[in-house]
Amino acid sequence: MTEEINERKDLLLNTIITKRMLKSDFNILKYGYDSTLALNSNNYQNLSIFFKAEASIILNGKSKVIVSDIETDNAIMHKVNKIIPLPTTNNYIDIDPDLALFNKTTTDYFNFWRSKLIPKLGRTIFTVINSGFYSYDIEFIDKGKSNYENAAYNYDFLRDCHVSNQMIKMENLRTPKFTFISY
Amino acid sequence: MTPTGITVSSYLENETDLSEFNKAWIKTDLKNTLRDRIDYTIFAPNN
Repeated sequence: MTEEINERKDLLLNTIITKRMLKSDFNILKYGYDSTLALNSNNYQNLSIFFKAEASIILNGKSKVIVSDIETDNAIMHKVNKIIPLPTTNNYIDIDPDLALFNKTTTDYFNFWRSKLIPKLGRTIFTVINSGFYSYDIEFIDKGKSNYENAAYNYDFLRDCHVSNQMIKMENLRTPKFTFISY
Repeated sequence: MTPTGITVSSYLENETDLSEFNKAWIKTDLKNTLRDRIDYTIFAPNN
């Protein structure tokens, strides 16, 4: 474990967020994202961390808090059972409950597409939350069909969710002169 | 946040099940990255 962290400082920075978060704070929020001190090597923006608080607090879908709320001078510490993995788009699509239906449309047939969603490629993906599917007048998910059939049916929708070679933040979209550089 | 008198570094030095994390903390000199006036949350992996 130490050798892995020593060689990759980003793994260590990925354990730190710049606010005070007690176990009770996570429990109130239930799940969501925050930012760590680790930086994306492509655009030098802070990486996100996903937490989910149920019986235990789980970070990025892998690391479990085993001892919580240790107070020190300017930090709350929580012990976790393993190194928190750096985030990937695929990982977040898999573990974010708001994206369960979006996840379903991107499994199986579209795994080849999802395999390209790694940070160094600098893509943007606009993920639709579950309620977005419910309110649409087209059935995106046919429960009588396989994941493969559903994904193939939704090919155009999935393609339109992706922007290649451009990492877009909300503040970019708010810029008057913002333009997409790809489809 | 009320100061507890215990720094992150001193806490890590005394927690045997965080000794591996402490080594990485020292090697990367991370305490100098953290600013005193900001409250942080740290998830420390045990050994």
